[in-house]
Amino acid sequence: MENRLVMASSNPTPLPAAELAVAYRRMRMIREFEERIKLEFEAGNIPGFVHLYVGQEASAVGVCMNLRDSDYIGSTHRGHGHCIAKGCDVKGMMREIYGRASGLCGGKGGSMHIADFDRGMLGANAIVGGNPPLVIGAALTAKTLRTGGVAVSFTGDGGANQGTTFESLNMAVVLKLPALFVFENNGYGEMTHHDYAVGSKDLAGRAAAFGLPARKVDATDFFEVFAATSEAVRRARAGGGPSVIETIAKRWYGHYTGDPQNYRSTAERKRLKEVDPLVKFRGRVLDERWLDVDLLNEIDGEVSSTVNEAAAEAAAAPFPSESELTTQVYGSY
Amino acid sequence: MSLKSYRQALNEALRHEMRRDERVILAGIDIGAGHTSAAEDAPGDGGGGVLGVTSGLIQEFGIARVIETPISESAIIGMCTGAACTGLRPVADLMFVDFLGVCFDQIFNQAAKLRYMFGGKVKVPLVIRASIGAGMNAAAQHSQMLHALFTHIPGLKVAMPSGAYDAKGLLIQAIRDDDPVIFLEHKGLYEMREDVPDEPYSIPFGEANVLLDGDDVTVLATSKMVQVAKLAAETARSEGIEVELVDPRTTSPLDEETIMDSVSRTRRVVIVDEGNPRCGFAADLAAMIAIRAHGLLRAPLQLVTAPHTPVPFSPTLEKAYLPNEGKICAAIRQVMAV
Amino acid sequence: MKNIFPIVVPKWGLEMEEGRLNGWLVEEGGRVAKGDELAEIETSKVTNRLESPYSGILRKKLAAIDRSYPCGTLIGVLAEPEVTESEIDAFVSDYRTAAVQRDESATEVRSEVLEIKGRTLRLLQLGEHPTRLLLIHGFGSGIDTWSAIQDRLAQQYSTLALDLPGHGGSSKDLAGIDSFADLAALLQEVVQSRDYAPMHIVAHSMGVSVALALAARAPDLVKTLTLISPAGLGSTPNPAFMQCLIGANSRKELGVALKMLFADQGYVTREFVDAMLKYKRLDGVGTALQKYASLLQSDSSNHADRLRGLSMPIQLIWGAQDEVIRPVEAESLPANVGLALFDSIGHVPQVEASSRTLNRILEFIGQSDRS
Repeated sequence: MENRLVMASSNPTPLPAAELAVAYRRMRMIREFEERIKLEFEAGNIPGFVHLYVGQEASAVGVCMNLRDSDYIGSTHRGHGHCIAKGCDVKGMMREIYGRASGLCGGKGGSMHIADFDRGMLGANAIVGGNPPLVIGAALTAKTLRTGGVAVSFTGDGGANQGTTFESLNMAVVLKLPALFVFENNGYGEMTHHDYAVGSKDLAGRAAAFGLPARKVDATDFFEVFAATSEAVRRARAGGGPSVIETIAKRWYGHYTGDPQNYRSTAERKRLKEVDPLVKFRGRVLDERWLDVDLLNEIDGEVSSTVNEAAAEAAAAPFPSESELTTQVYGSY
Repeated sequence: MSLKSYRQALNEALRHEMRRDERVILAGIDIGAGHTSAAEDAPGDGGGGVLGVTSGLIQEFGIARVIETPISESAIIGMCTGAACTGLRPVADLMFVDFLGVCFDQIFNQAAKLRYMFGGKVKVPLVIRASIGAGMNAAAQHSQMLHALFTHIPGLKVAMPSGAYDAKGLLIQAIRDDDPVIFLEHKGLYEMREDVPDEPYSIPFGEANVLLDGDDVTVLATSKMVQVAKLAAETARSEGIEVELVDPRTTSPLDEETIMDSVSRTRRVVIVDEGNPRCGFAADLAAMIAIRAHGLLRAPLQLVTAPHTPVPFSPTLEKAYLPNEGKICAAIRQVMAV
Repeated sequence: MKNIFPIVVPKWGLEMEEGRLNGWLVEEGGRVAKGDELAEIETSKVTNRLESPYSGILRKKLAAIDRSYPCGTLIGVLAEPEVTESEIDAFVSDYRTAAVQRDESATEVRSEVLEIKGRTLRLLQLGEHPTRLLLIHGFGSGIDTWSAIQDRLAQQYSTLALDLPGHGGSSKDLAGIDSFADLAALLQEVVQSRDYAPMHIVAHSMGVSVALALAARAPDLVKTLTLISPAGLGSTPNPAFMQCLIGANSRKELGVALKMLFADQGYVTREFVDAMLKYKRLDGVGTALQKYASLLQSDSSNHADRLRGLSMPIQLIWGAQDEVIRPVEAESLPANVGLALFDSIGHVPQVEASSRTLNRILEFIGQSDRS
């Protein structure tokens, strides 16, 4: 692997080659993981609901490649992508989504409550607008204990209209917290188009009025997302306070798996897959000769195997026993 | 040890814990000294919150640990929840429990459930303090109890001190507890004085207090109603009735053992609670007793609560709304008459 | 205790503070049944007849006509004829002094706090006389254990009672205290700094271990030793009691432990249990008590030898029914060490038989001072 990473390149890489490989691996993992979940869900093997992140991979990974394990992120009901981007254990995630005892949360949370505090993942949150206040809390801890950490909130265009989001923006500015609010605008808050629901029709612009720097970037471009995040994270760590990044994305599938998407025209649905963030990334790193094609293909193969293993193991893993029902409600009672 | 007010006792509890553990922080509206300008490092001369409980703390601990916020309860409570999951031990000031409406998601969906949903991987050592209760003509949106709502939620603990000694010990315990605690302070008790040790001490949750011993009737009361029931018990004693007065102190966890010990001895019960009657805490106790003491009781349970109405403003109406000594005595006589 | 019943000034209503005895309705020696009218009592609000809460013979009238007494004051005693006069007297004496003990604020108001060697110690110094007397309490106790007798001792002696580290109003941190000798050294500093030696020492239970250590290291400071229900003389404290007291977290559990202290369980009042519960909840107390418990474990030694090694006069006072530390055999003591064994008394004679304890102390010390 080492040999392949040392190449003559035309432009300086924004990231060391090893990290570019990690970024690709994580984006590919999100894609394969989510596509597999869709299959298994449609086959009736997964309980509850799932909300898939397919098409938005570069947004999550572009942001998270700037973060340490000890930095925190908060996510939404559409949280698998952010979880994988933050480096959470994929097999543990799969088992959690299948509701098994060895899942990341003991089978007690499921898809919408995936968390891994060791990796700084504060959890997927099933309440729209639920994570921004928690994230500014993590930012407050970083500021109070002077860890130099930052906390990042992922919110959709739907959640951007929640009172909790506005309150958190203002609070972060007033208390000068090391936070970053990433609005992943995929055009739809559940089934309502952003143009209708966001009165100002401009999420970043609206956020800027709260008194913090706000930028718009193309969510399908890993490098654009990465660069914008680097700047915001640097600012936050240096005590410069919070920022907003709006990533313009496309959500390839419905709000939830099984959603007939009657609110989207056929033409629109066809256009969606025309820009694939993974294809875009591959194109760029190959053109610039930052990584070689054999490495990328090898990663594809490994990811595929990992996802297959994860699904097979999850399907075979035991469910929690009934005695687990009443545990972990409290530390002590 | 000296005579201190409920308010002072709470202040001491906060002070002790903030000195002992630098992870303890306070957040809320006006809890410091007010802000007279935009300058973050120039707190004003104010006296520690609308209710004065946090007086003097910002001067001792500074703005990094006594955080004054804009009026954004969701953000305040949510921020404190997130901070609790990530290494701090925040005490959030909700000011009036009636404001829970604008931050209830953070309380019952986030703080209460994170430990469980995440399979025990996170703890939420959060305290939310709020004032409760009527009797100050504060009208419908500033006078409620609402402890029943919190008690109902798995994952939350609920403490309701009825006097200054309990207030200090329970708040210290709440701050040291690794679970989210809703700490409810009755407005009508802030001035009440009792002997309170100068040193820090903690009262375990789930331990009821038996204020009076008696063989004739068990009176269960919460918060300020404990003080009112005490007066009623004196009157009852002069009528030859010996009351055993039990204060649960925490509604969640609940000390069922002490309550049932008393009930199985006296076999007559009066429950006094300032909340509204439907699905209230009095009803919860009544159900527990009815189930566990089936066949033992000598008389039907007597419940003395507020009526099924919002809290009225006019003093005559508010007086009629609240349980009082007379109503409690009537219930005691009723239960003894059988 | 046999059936001896107190007649006290009743509390009729929240605001009543005292009552005036207008007259008795029964003669001394007369029989009453429960509910019979005993006396006429006048308050600021009402004049009423006091109904007897018990049946029996009115053996003693203790209040004067036309005088006012605070609510709760003992004004009479009811008992059956077979109860002897001295038992009545002892009852009256004990009742009155127990009433004083219940008045905790007396200690608060008169005690002082001393800063010494990085800790605070609460002291109660009463009486100004040439001869000095030091009072050392036992495990989990404090200055208040002497409240029935300290005032009366103070009529003849300069008395100094203190809360040991970890107890009462003293600081709870026991850093630097790893033996009874360490405690003795601390006490020595206290008494020397206040120019308090030489002195008689009266010590109770675990306080005896401290007193013995002090007498061993500084015999010139100690005139006599009165050792009440002593630890450190071969008889180890009842482990069930220790565990129960340390481990008790609730009133119920604590009540069980405290009942072991007295032959008459009537002494385990709600106030007593409450005060103990509040003490145990204070930060640092749990750790302090654990440490003291382990010191006690390792402190037992042959008592006869230990006592023989000391030259000052020594007396032992012990309750025959002490369930916490069983009394040793009198025969096993050196000839010059007297043992006063009180029948029907438990581990805390200075509370349960305060007059008898006081008299023994006064007699013993008086004798020694005269010789």
